[in-house]
Amino acid sequence: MTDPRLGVDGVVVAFGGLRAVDEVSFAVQPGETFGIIGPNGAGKTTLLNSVSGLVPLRTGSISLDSTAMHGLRPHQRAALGVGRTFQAAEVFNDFRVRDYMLLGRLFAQQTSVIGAALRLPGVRRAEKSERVAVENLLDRHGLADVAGVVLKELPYGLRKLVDILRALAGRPRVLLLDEPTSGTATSDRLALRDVLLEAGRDGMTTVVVDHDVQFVSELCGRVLVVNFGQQIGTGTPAEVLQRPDVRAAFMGAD
Amino acid sequence: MTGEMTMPPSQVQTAPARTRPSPRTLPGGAAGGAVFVLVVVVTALAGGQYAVYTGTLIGIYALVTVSQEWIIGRAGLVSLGSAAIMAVGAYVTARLSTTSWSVFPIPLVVAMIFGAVVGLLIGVPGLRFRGLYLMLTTLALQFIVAFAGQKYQGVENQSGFVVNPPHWGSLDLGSPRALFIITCVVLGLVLLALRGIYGGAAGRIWNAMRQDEAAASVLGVNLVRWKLTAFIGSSALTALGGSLYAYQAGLVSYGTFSLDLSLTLLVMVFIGGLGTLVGPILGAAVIVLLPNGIERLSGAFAGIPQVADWLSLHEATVANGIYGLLLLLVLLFERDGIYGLVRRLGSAAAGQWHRRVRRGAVQ
Ligand SMILES: Nc1ncnc2c1ncn2[C@@H]1O[C@H](COP(=O)(O)OP(=O)(O)OP(=O)(O)O)[C@@H](O)[C@H]1O
Ligand SMILES: [Mg+2]
Repeated sequence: MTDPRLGVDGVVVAFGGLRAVDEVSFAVQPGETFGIIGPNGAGKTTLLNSVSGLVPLRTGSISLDSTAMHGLRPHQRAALGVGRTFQAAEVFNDFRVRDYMLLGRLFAQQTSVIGAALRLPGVRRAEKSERVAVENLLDRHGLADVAGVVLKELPYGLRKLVDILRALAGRPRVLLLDEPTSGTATSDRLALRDVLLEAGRDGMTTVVVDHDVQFVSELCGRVLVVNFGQQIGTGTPAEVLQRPDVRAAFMGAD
Repeated sequence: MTGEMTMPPSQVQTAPARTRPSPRTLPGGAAGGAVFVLVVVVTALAGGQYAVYTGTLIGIYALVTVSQEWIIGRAGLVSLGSAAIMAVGAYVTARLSTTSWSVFPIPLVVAMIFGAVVGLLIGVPGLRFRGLYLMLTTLALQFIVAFAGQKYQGVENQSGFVVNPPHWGSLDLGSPRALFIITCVVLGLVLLALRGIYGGAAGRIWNAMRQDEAAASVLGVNLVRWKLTAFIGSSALTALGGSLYAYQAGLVSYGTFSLDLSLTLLVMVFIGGLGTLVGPILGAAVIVLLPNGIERLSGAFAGIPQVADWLSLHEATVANGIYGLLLLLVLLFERDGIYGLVRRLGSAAAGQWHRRVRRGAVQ
């Protein structure tokens, strides 16, 4: 078997005495949509943060294809192809939708400050073609009329969608989604699901953390269940959800 | 530096009502540019001595406030060292002005290079520190420059270094009107360059950093690179302001570039309005015009000598009091500063106009 797209091996993340992620291992194959579920405070966001490079590992290793990523800084991991959305859509408030989408395509962009200061034709052309690409993308998802709206003024469900599209626009090798459905209405969830299904058909490798077990079941072939930082099982959604320990972990939590 | 990122569990939220548009847009470039050029040309051609002098000072301070806004308003960092960096540019200019390197614009360019180096030096602690600690490191720069400046001037140059006027071969560029034009051209070029920078990928990157550093790094922003770029670029332009200041004043001494000046400039950036290029220019105009306004006020009280004397005696104190009051008002009521207020009044007036047009009151 070849290397997995994302390999997480024996990862431990501790905050002082609290082991927020405790010996978690899983592997996501190229093109797979992989789910992570667990009650509040189980360590799901921390697990994604460890893949993004926002928290240091106490032990364990993380790899993308065959590249070891621990030790790399977050922007270097992003450059390798780790894409990410945020649990709280309020992380970025102060962007117009189109500018936020452009930020998702950071790697395709001319970032020479001198070039921009001198308004070199090459830089301006690159900026223009990026803008056209983003307008087309927004248009394709029916978001053309909100292109100029500031994120904080968007309905919450739409913000979540925009955040996912922003991450997808960077064509990541693995996309990490932290609670895409939290705070959204049923209709938003259908739209989100369709976008993710389409991305999956295009071969996107995705890790979805979510509280909506049905949403995760519909999207993912395999799910990992975590509780108190520890993994208590991996399998197909149907298998995992039947296990008594999993049901117990969710009892009262969801 | 990246530290941790705890994100609060999100609650179900409804869409907030549409409020006023975000201030973080580029101000209408063509219109703003036209106004700028018009004011400069009219002042250069028809302005009296006072208008030209005042205009030059506003232009110089605007260069500095605009550059400082780069760090504060775009990158979301703090700096208390603007006067110290101005001093670096001013000293470089003073020393070069008496050498064979005095040909315009060599001293300006060299001043920028020195400014960039100082920016790198204060940027490095900025990589580790945020907020209060970063403020303290830039404060240290202020003291270092005061100390070094005093030692450098020594006993023989106690009152400062004389600055020879800028020249181009045998052509003297030192007249007030020539200095005004040089200042405005330099400022105009800087504004154009910054508009180019802020309007592209770099502007978006700093905007992301300012909102959430950790999240920005996850999007692929190299925090080290972009923090240093902001410090280096902003400091180079601040030193350029210092260079022009040296020519304008004709004498450079450390006493000018005090902590007081840094604080005033910082306050003006806030009062003018963050996130725009126009705001800091308005702030700079306040710095220059306010003391003069107080002078006139004391003139108006000539009939009551006690008031007039007190005002002219305490001009600096009164100005500081007004700065403080303005800052408080801005922080409390109008976060977007004077420029935000102007825009809001402008759009209210435009709305009124449209309503009147619709009612047929205006033909
Ligand atoms: N930066 C931090 N410092 C200290 N403790 C933290 C930090 N981040 C998370 N924790 C703790 O680690 C544990 C796991 O938190 P995490 O946010 O990863 O859970 P989660 O599964 O994403 O929860 P939720 O479903 O509420 O999003 C919690 O007990 C939390 O309080
Ligand atoms: Mg979470």
